[in-house]
Amino acid sequence: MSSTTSEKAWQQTALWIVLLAATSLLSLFLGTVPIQPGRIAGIFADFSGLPHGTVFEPWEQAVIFELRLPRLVLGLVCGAALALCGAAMQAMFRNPLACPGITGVSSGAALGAVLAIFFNLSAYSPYFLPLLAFLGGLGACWAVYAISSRRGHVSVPMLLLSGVALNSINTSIIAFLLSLSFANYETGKQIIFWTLGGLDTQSWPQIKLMLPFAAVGCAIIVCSYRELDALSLGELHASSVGVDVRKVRRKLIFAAALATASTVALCGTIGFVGLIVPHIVRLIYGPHHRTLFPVCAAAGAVFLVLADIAARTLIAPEEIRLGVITAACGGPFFLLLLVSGDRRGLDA
Amino acid sequence: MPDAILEARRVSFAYRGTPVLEDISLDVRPGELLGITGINGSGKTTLLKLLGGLLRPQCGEVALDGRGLHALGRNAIARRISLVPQDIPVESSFTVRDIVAMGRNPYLGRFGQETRIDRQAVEMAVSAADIAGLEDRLLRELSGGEQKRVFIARALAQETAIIMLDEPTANLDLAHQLTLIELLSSLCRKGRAVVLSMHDLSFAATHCDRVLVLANNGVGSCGTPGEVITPDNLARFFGVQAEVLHYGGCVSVVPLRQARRSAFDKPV
Repeated sequence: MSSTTSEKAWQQTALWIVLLAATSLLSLFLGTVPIQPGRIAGIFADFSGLPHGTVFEPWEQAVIFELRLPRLVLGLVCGAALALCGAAMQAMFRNPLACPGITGVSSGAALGAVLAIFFNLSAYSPYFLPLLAFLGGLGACWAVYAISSRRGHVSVPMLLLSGVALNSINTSIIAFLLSLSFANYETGKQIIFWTLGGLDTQSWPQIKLMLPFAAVGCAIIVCSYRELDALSLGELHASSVGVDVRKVRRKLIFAAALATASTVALCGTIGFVGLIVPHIVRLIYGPHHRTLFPVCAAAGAVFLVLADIAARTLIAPEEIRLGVITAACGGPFFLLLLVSGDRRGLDA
Repeated sequence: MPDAILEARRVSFAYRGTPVLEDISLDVRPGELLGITGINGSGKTTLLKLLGGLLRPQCGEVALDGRGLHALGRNAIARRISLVPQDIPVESSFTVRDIVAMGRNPYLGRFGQETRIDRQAVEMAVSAADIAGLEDRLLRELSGGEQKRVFIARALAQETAIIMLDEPTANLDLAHQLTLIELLSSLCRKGRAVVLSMHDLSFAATHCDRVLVLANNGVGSCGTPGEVITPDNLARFFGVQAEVLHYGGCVSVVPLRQARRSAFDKPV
């Protein structure tokens, strides 16, 4: 029995590693000019000082390292972080509709980022945009929680409705700032790009800046697997087996805001990853967060990289914004969720 | 009489300004089966939550082993007090074993793995709660009574000195009600304290060592079943005219009609 379970675990791990590797390679390979997989291997071998017999052009190396690799890393990190946030929020609020997008955390973070762009704060310090994004995300998460909880009990309709309200407040302020920026073409363009989301806006320094924050947020979430298992049965059940529900909630709200805000600071608002991915993974892999979290992270990464590949190849040489692609997948999925009445994923 | 392990000292609690319990004092002693009863909304569940440290009283204090409950961490409390809530997440996709094993959470560290001791505790709890053979089934596939027993097993796996159960006999068929009470009595004989809230007065009168009736936000009556479950008290606190019949060691409360004086009137 135990040997087959561990065998299964290995098979699953291998499966996800292969999927991650395959999508990563595809993402490096595809672009305005395809670069042969052999040459990609050569470029990496050359970079790590290994002997190789491949000949590649210097521009190919530059395209890989300065354009496609950062884009790939961003996709992997943001996809994983958003999916983890979604999984944690779904367990914490005991509802499959809870995710950074719907609860207003993403738009709160976006508002923070847009404020930073509008007032051109990045000119003073590169930390201002991520900091404001974090504060916006944290504020939104806290507000939604405070409005929808009474004595530690979360009312799900209140949660979703306050998310709707918060989203519209945030987007209206963003739209207001946008309308003020019509005179300034660059600012306006940046704001629009931000709200639509995309992996193409950042280079290595910004990625290195935000990576630790995303990692800390994700690590806190992943380490809470046991508490989240208990919490998904309900607060009373969690408390009676020793979970300090208030403390865990505060910790997870902080972590989700941190991880979401880092992704927003890097690539704008990308909706629905935190909704679709954990939901499907939960249906397939069951309710244990110890399994759910790694699979969610891997699946979120694969999903976002694939979405990015679609974004830049579907109408090449033009690009579709990534947020448009994920919303186009997520909207119908969301409706399906509501219409099908499949409540299995709804509960732990 | 052994010293109390859990003690409520003049505890009061209000939900948003509406008082539910006022000035309640109560001690829970090892080895006793304490039944809490009262009409709907009399605060049975609230009292259990206060005793288990899940709610914080606005006045007064609950002390565990002589120490204020709120000075203790959740984990420390969960190693001494387990609670079987009334509401059960019936749609859960966890297996029976997963849920019972959660009873070992207070003993595991953040990344701690289950040891042999934990697995033994889970096995014993499973067989004591009579759910052996169901371990690999999903909770949502079980009947209501089986689900209830899964959560009782979780409380047993927690190996606490005090076990609290909120309406444990609801959803249980007669045979399993008896199995449950036998199990709880055997735990009491081993020195555990069991506190349960219930509506079934016959059951409370027959099996509990002590019965507490909540009425008018306070303790209406508390004492041995013989002292508490009387026609007088049933009229005063439950608003029914009833007969209390004794039959071979069992007590049966037979409600006859609504009493003219209901529990909502001020007591005499």
